[in-house]
Amino acid sequence: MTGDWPCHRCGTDNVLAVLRRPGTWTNAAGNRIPVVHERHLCARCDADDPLSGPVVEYLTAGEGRDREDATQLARDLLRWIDHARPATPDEDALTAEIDAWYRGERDRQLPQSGTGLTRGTAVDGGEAGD
Amino acid sequence: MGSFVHLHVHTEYSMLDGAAKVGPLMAEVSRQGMPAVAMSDHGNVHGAYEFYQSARKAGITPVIGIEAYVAPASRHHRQSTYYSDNLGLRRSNDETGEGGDVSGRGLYTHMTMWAADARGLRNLFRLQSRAWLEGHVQKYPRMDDELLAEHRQGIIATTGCPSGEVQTRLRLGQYDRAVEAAARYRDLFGKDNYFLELMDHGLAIERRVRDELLRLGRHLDLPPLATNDSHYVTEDQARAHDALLCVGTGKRLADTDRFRFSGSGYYLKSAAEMRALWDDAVPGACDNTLLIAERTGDYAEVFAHRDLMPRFPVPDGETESSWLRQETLRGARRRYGDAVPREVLDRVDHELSVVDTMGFPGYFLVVADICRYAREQGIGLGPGRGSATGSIVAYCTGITELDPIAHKLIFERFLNPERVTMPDVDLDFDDRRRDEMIDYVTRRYGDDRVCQIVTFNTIKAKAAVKDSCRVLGLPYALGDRISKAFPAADGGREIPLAAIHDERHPRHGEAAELRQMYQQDPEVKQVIDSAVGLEGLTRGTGIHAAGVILSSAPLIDVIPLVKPKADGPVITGFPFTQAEDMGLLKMDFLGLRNLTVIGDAITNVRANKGIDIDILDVPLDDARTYELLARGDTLGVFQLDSGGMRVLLKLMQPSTFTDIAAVNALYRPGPMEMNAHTNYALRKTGKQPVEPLHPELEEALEPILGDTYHLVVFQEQVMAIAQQLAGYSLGAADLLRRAMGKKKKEVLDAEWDRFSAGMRTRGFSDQAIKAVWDVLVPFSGYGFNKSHTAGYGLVSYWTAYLKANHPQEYLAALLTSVRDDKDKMAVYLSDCRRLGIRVLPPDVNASQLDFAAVGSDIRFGLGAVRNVGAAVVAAITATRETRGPYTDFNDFLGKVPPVVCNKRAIESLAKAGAFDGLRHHRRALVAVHEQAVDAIVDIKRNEIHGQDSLFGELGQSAGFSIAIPSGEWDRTTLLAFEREMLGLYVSSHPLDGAERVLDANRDTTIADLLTSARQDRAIQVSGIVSGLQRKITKQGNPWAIVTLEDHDAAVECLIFPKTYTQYGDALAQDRVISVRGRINVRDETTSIYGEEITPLDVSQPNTEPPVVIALQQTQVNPRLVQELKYILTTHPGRAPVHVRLDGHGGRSVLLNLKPFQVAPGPAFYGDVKALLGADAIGRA
Repeated sequence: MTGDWPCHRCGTDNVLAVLRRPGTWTNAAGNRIPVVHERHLCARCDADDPLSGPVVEYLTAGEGRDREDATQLARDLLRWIDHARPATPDEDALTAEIDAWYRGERDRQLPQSGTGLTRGTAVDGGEAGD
Repeated sequence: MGSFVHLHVHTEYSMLDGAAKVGPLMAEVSRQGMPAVAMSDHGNVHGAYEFYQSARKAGITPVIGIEAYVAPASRHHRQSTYYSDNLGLRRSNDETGEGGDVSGRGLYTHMTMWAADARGLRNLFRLQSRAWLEGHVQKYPRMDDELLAEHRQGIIATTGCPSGEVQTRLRLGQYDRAVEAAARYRDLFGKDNYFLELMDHGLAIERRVRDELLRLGRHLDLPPLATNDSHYVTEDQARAHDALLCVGTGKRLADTDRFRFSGSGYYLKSAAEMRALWDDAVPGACDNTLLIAERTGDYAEVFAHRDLMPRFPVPDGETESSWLRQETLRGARRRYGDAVPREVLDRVDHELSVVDTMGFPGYFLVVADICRYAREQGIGLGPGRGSATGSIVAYCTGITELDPIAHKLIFERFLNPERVTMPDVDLDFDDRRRDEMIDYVTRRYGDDRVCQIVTFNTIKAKAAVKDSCRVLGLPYALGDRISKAFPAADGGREIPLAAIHDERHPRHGEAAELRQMYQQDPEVKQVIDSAVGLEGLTRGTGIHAAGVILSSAPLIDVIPLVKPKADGPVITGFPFTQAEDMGLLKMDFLGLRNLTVIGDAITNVRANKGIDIDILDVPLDDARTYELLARGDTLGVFQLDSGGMRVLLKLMQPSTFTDIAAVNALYRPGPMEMNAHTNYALRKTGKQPVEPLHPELEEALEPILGDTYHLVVFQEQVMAIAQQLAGYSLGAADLLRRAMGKKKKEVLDAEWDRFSAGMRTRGFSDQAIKAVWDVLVPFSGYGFNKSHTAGYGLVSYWTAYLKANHPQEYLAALLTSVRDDKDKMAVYLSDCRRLGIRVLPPDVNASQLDFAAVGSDIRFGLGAVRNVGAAVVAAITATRETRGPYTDFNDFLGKVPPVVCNKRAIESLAKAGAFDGLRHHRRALVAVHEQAVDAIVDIKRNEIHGQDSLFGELGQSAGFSIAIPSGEWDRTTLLAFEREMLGLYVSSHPLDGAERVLDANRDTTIADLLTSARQDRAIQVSGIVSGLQRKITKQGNPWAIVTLEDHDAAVECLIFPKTYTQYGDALAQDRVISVRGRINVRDETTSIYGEEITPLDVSQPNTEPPVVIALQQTQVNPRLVQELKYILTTHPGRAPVHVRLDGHGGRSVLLNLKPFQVAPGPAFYGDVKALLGADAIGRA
């Protein structure tokens, strides 16, 4: 686990890795500025996902992995990274959510505490070689 | 069938009990064709003036009365008094809705009474007032028999309702005592003025004593009088009234154990309904209501305007008029020298003649005396506000501080002989000492002639919705949701509920969202329908924030007075507009925080530099001050510190005092809409040509508009143009200005004829006349008067002067003034940093209670530390003054008195850094403080008991010493605690050093965003996440509210589910992020709807670069991972570790191994190379 922050989806401290992907935004002056898109790999939330699940499995497993597994990890990581891109912002969707806010459809509090998954090796993933 | 007059009527001034607004009440009486109607509110006559005026307007005879509280013994007897020994009857009908013993737990009985004429009304006012001033217990202002006897003339009274003494005694089976009481009151008021009051709402309590009551009436020959205990106007308002009772009692409609009205019919029943009830049963009971109405005389003289101006005591042989002349001339010599210029004397003569004619010399003397007292006592006094600054008499008598001739201010804008109104001088005082000024006028003019002013708190639309929701038992969130759907208030005015459905309402369109909710959601409909019945009703009373009433006559003889709190001030029973209409003088004593800041800054300058500043002597051409203004460096400068204003100042480059007055007049919605503010700035800086309104007028207008680059900026310029170009008197010019502002066509047409004729006779062409008219008319709708902006401009100038010349001292005073507002403190603290002024953390050896200038720095005050009160600070500062500076923590605890030795205070001081100067680590002190305080408290306790006298002198706690370890928190933790204790970062900021990264990733700072007028536009801001609330929607989707903070300010970002799903990974407490989204301004609060989020890397350049370990994907296996992990853990350090996994085709993945930080020395490199080879390791 990274220990730095909880998973934004489940609120627990089970983030295994953080992927940082370079991107750009257009600011108010119309200029493109470099930004970073961030994606967590959560042992709890991503375990059943077909793309991220194998990475989670490798990182949370104990001893007894062989060379073939490690090679597969590298392939799985790259596959996950390829798909972990943020969608283009959707202005209409935001407008609809603002409307929902005014209709009072935003209320219940997310539980904050973790659920005690075992601490394992923590990695913080990102892209290199661009 | 005869008519009927309702004499027992509770209006909305029977607060949270009566639901009848006066206007609709009169309309209903009128509709029913009744000749008169009474008001009889509980214990007050707040509504008398409004009731009288409304009734007269509707052609209805007003009968002003009261349902009085009468003390069962004496008004001075504050304990319960009961008529019976039966304890079971002591729960009165207030609590049970049924009859019992004396009401209000033995504190009062009721009596209905009315004023038969003007004399009676004055007596009613006196009775009511004395009940509040002398007999007030809990919420009951009580009169008694003694007062009733003293003020009985002109009063008609009755035996009262079931809570009256007579019915209470009858209910208790005390017939003889009931007769005795009724006979007593009959004799007191007179046989023709005391009636047997009969009610029938179908209540058992009424029926139970009916026969006995009628028997008593016959026994004493009391005339019967039928009343209906009306609490609302029409029958259909019963439910809204019931809801109002729930609002008042904090109950829900569905509650069974709540106060409610039993029976029915508490509305203005028709004459037919009333006569059906009474004509057969008690003949004459209804006729007598008409008799009382006919007997009620005119109250006009009570409410008529009369001269109640307070009299100023003048020396023998002088009149107020002659004395004012002498005082003015004395002041003129002081202001202008012994040889007073002719122009000044002429102006003085002119103004004094107007003041004399209008009868206001005493007024000027009174105000001048108040100002004199403030100056003598060193109480900060404003230099003038409002139109009064245009008077040279005010200037000479010390009421104002601006020369109206030099600044071209016009007297007629203040007092216009052609439009007689009361003068209105509002006074600004140091807000901490405003009460001293009220005390002074109270002493000077008599506490029977000075009081403060009532205000009425009405239930506004949003509050009505929330109240309605609560009484209906619906969730608070529903009320909150409806409230959020309200459009933004317009000039502080909420949209009324009527606007939802009334298409003619000007704000109908804005209520579309509310309307939709109303139509689609039955619960919303239920809430709003119920809220309509509550909206606009009076909830309670308050005290006017500034107003003071002065009178030449005892106020109790003029108006009703009340005293809602035993230790509070006496206030009027009428709001100030009504009091003024009756001739009472209202003055506004305003507390102005900036005067406090100026005073404190001057004190700071004296303490830090030994310089005495008299702010009145400050030159108005100080170069540093104008440089500061031209830089827009005006955070904390009165009226000039908003973002937009600072931009305007930079554009304008002010260089004269007129520029300051102009900027205050132009930075307002009207002129800004016309772009007048920018035009002024551009003309002043030569970027726009100065063009006259019409070429033909250039020369004529130069003396009037020359200072403002031929732009019309002030109302006084309109008046001067009318006077000098069209031949108006200044009085008529003031009327013209008003007419232009109101834009009534027929009035404007008439003025156009006069104006154009006047200009024509002076030889101007029609084109020129039209040109000037076309500019003046729209301007008058939004123009501002120079008298006010110049007066306030002087305060702006003073604060700018102090900031420019004494920045440490001024900012210390400013920070002290906003000590309770952490947001503002953060802004000013940031300004200090920007100006290169160090703000030092609190220090037990150096800090005072407040912020203080120390050399070129500012020292944080100990009073700003959380959990540290003024008493603790006083003890710390007094101890070090008497016993010398504290040398270390042990010395501190040993010296300070016990009041300081509490764990929370010591821990807070440590976390805030107040012991840093004693060379202790904060973490170490927090670790030992509990143990230390326990130990020292024991020692001090023993000292007090004399047990340790052998070991040390009392107060020195000899022998006390506790070992203090070393070791400090990391920077993040240290700053977090500092912020917790001080409300903001002081010693440094987590974003210090990150300015370049932030600047590259934001369109604006958060402070500029908040002070700008940007709305509904895309924006990017960056900062640290100082607050993070993760939430889920009703549909189960996660979202968050993020508080994003940069150096100066904070803003809330709403991250809705779609954005949250995409970017939630970047959200964590204390993380530095950038948010792109839409600006939302609602209820004057700015927030951002987040659309994209990115984390920012603000790591300091001097931190260790990461160690990069390169691995081929094919190399990776569990054994290698284990061995690498072992190496990483055996060389701990500060360098992060990145592992680069190289795959096929040159693709790589970088893994940041966050838990590992290593010391990249030779040993580490050797171990890694041994495992992976010489090329496997490097530094980024």
